[in-house]
Amino acid sequence: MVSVLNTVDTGHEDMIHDAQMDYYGVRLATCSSDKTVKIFDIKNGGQILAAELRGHEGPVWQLAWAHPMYGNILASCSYDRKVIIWKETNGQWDRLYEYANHDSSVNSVCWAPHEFGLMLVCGSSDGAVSIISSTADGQWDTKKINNAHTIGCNAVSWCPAVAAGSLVDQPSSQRPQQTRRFVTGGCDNLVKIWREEDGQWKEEQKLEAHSDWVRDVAWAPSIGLPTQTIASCSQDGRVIIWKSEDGTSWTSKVLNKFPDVVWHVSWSITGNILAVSGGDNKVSLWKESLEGQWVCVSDVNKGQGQTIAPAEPQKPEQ
Amino acid sequence: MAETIAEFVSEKVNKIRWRPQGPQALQQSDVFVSGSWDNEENRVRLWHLPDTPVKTEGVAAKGQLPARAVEPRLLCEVPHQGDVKDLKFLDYDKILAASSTGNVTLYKHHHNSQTLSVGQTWESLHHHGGRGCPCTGLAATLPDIVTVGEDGRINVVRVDHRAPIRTIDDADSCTLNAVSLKAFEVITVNSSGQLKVFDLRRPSSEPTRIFLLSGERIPLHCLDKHPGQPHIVATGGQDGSLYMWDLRQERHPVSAMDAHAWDMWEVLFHPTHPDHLFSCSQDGSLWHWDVSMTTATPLAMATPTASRSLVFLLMKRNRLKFSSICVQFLGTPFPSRLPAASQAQSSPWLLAKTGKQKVEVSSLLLDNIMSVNSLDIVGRNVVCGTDGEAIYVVRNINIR
Amino acid sequence: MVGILYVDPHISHEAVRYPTKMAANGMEEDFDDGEQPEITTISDPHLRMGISARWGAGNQLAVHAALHPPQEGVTSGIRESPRVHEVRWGTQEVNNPIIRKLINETHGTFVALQHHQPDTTSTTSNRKPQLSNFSRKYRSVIRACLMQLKQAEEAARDDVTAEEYGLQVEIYSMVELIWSLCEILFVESLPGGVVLAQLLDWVKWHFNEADGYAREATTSDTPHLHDSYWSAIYLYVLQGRGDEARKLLSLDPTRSMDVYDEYASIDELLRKMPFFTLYTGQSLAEFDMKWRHWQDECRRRYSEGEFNTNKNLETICRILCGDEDVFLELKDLTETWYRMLVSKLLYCNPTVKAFDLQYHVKACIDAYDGHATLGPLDNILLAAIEFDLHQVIKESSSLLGNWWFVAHLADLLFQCGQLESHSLNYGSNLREFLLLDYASSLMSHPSLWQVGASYLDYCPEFGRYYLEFYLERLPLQTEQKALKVLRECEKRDMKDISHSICKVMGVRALRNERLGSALSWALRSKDASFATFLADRFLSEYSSKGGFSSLDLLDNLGTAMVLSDRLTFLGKYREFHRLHEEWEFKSAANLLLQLLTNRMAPKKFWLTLLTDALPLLESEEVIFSTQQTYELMNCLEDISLSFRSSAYLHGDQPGDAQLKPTKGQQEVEKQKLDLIRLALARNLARAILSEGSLE
Repeated sequence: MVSVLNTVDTGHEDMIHDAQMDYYGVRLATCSSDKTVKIFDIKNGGQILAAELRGHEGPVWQLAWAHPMYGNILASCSYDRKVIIWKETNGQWDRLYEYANHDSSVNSVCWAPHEFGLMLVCGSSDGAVSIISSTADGQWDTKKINNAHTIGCNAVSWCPAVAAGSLVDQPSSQRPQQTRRFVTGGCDNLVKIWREEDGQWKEEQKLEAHSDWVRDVAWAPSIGLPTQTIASCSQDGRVIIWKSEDGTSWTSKVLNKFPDVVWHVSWSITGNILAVSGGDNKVSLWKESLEGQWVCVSDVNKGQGQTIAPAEPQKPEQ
Repeated sequence: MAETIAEFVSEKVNKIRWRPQGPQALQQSDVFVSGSWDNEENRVRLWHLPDTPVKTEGVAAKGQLPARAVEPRLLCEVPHQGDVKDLKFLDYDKILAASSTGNVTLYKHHHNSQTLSVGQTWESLHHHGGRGCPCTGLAATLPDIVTVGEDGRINVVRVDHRAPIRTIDDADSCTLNAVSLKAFEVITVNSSGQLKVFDLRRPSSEPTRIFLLSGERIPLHCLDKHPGQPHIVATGGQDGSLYMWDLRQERHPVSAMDAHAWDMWEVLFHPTHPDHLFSCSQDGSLWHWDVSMTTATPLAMATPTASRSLVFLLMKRNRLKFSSICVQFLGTPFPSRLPAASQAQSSPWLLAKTGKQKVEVSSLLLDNIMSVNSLDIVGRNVVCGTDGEAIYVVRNINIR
Repeated sequence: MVGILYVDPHISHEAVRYPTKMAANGMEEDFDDGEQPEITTISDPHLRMGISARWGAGNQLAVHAALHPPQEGVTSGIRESPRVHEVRWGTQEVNNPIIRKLINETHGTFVALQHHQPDTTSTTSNRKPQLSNFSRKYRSVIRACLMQLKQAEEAARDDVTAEEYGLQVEIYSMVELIWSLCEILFVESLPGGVVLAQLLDWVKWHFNEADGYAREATTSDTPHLHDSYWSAIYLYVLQGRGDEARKLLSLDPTRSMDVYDEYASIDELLRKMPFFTLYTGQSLAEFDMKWRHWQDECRRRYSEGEFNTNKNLETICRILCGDEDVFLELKDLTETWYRMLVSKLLYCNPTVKAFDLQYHVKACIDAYDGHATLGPLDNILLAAIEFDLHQVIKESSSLLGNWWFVAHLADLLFQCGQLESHSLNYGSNLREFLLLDYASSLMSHPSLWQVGASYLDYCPEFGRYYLEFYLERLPLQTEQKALKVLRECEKRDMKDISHSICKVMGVRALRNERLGSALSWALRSKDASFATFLADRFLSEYSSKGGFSSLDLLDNLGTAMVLSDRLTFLGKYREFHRLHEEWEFKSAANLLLQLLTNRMAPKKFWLTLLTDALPLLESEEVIFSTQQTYELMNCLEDISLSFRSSAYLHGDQPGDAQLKPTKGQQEVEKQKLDLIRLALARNLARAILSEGSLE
């Protein structure tokens, strides 16, 4: 049962490339080829344009909201090779930091789990990945991994902070430092996992299974199982679910082979449902059944929605 | 025997108030107002509670639903912007509502058409740099209406005046959670365990007195002053305990009683029988406190500390099960400087340290598990609203 | 339930498909089994270009048209402004006010059921009545909900609303029917128990056309000639309602009252028909004997042709005899296979056991054109009769799309021990699986999160993790809501989440320039680093404005100040000011010295402290002793040194570099140092003198 609750007329002058709900699902940020970023208040099915952010000089590809404990902070990345971090103060959005150390379009941005502080990773068509973090005194520290993916990096996603399987009682601030990892996908058909060791980022894993450009990667939220899960999708039409029990050895399973390029994968906040956006103009929702099978959600258990007939294509209303 | 009526209302109720009696009414009020919170669209609703029907015992067949006649019936409703944080009947047909948007709205009830309409709105009375923030409490001694909010501000407004006639901007550095008026004195409680008194006659924005909980800084959520002896104030807060304050004394509460397991959201003295007090809590309980049995023989002669913890255990563990227990005030946790002479004419609520005051506490809701956010009492009827989207009316409470 | 958002169905895919190399082998099946999930369409012409979806909070998705691959310089040529669709997955019925009552009311029952204490010493049979009570409680709420839905349907002002309510009425009618059958078979029935009496009640309760027919007939002038007259009688007999049938029969004026005719005969048979009920103390064998005896009598009278003259009475007698053919003849009256099944069993096999019901099903289904024609509801009831619980739940969830029902039913069956006992090796998981979905739909609702949280408490495996995710993402519009969310965290000892919520609230207060409020949030979560940060803000506020705000809070910090060193310093420093204001110069001086010598004061604040000492040094009475003056001089030297190395003021933290003093400021500070040095020297002289004179 899927229903459209609200439609936001963005007023962008060109296609939008990303639409991200904030942490609470009450604000929507959109970015477009028209070089702007817009923020809408969408509480209770309404839409109020809260801000229009201008600063990029090319199409803006992707957005990411930081954890609200840092205030209202949004990161955007663009064809103009820049990443801009925006911050709201008293209803006013201003540039907090601008990162312009890539040689080509920046395709993807993702904030680290809030436990790691204000930390951002971005991937660029120049093949490099940058890690930008805020130091205690409000300065910005940057690290760059050159040639992370030859030809280009398309997507980045962080590993959740709580070490899988360990529900530690003490607050995270008192825990030993957790391993920091993120995953990237690129034009070399590879999915790579990176790990921080002594302040340096190192390639930990190279996951090979796709036969064409990897378009998106998404690390699933951890829900207490020792298993880590990553979803990746590719121009080869496959969505692959990667799993690891120990964080080092990964197994892959093809969730589905789609008839067209798969552009995006996105996990629900509890990580139980994966939304797959395909080149066939469909979004499908997938869930792991009790038997460990990935099924299109149509049924509580086995995915045999036999009692439900597909909607008949209808004549366009004109 | 008390009887309980439950009505599910499809919205979480944050505030509930009986309407005062009309000019020519002879019997006690049977109309109350409720305000919702946390809903996509919140509402202020007016309910009528029909009289108890003639006993139909024996007639009701097996499996038949109880007659609906006794359940509250919706009279009218009006949408309300933001959570309803407080409600106050200014008179028979005027209702003042405080909103989480910082607005305060005056609603008028039209008896002929059974409708509620907006009479007047004060926008963003409470705000951070102009952007509205929750107004948490209201008090009124007409013509003055006092509002407090999360911005730590106190406003004094009057009906028909568009702007506040007085504003104390930095009345509190924390959130003010509730307010009461005692002649020209404004009494507030805040989120760091303080009770403050401001004198409106003075130009100064400083409080005339600051009272505080000793030790832990426990946020206080609610207060009520004794109807007959306004120097006696009851408050409740995050720890669920009941604190009694004597405004003639210095700094600390006269007594503290472990009570509810979690936050106490509202405390009210019975308006005409102030030896009775009612409190409700996040833990889903609604309690009736009774000190009318003055100078009763102490129930148990256990050592004070022992029975005190016994009471504590009873309440915490059997929160939802016990129907009536007796507790005693057993000494004050704070050194009291009340002069011996004033004790004689003191209220039983202040006889804390004598250890001779018997308090009977009974739980009025037996199987509710969701937070009771608000209650009101008129005559022998208590009404309360919960986060379980229910309104309970408890009739025929034993008031001696 | 639905799996797919399918967009823009009327545009040929080939026309818009991107010329990727995958197009060649893009013919593979979308889904295994050839089963197509339901598709939701969004009407937005831009979506033909491509689609993209991102999860938001809860069950919320943001869906928009997308240019694939994203390329610069490609003019998409869109004509209208692009749109973003906020889509929700999961049941929408939670928004219905009547369903919300059901959700809230059954919540209490659910929690009570989780806490019910099965008497461990007792056998299963003793546990049953208690569980039946829970089941009936649920059912009474379903019934009340159904009645209200029906009322709402009738009262609806427009067709759309009426249709909406009509759909819900349909769903909850089925819910009630399935629930009560499951209650009979799985909750109430004893192993090897006889279930017919309950099944009869079930049929009577849900299918009561007979009364309607009877009313039609009796209100007509000639009841016995009315079309519905015999239908009513047959239905009464088929449902075992002998008394009602007899009452109707007595209305037929053609019967003669004085003679024992065929009417009297059938009346006698109906009157004497034995019933088996559990609690009469009658043994099954006794009943069986009585039954045989009675039915033999029926057969005898039938074969002797007592009713030859009256076809209607003969039909009744054939029913009583358990003549299989007569049930086929009356299949239009029983309408469904399951009602036929109950009627047939009543007269052919009254002592049938619950487990054996399934063996009698086929003939009845065949009477209604066989298995192939069974609808989804039939399948669910059939699965129940076949004791295939898994199937019941599975089919129910796809038919009804109602998480409330499957979650509560699965839980109840689990509590009855039925989920394990029917060869489901993951019994508890199935329950949790369904409860998680139900709770997630509540957590995604703006108002029902407290109820959702309560359900997640009873999902032992994943509930807590789900709850953490959801609680942290609840929008906190007011402090009261924040407190309520925090209470939920504290109840469950979720320290990380409480910490994060307090931080969010504190940062928000800070943004609103409410330092005191921010500090109270930091204190609440014992967030030392945030408290330090805020204490610094207070101190710099003091440095720039010459006074403290939030005195009501700072003066009453009490033991809370030990949370962080900086906060302790702030508290003590404020205490110094108060002592000073209260003319307690000696104590003020001691405290000031203490703050400097035990290194509690941040170095950048030393100059301020020494400046604060000036009035004490200059007072008429000597306040600082020689020893104390030396110590102050030490501090002054320290500052002068670091002043020269320009490290003071920005020595503690690199971030303070931004506050680098201007030339003018440096000049002022230098003058200050000189002033202090002079005052110290003078004080030392006075102290030596006064101490000397004391000796």
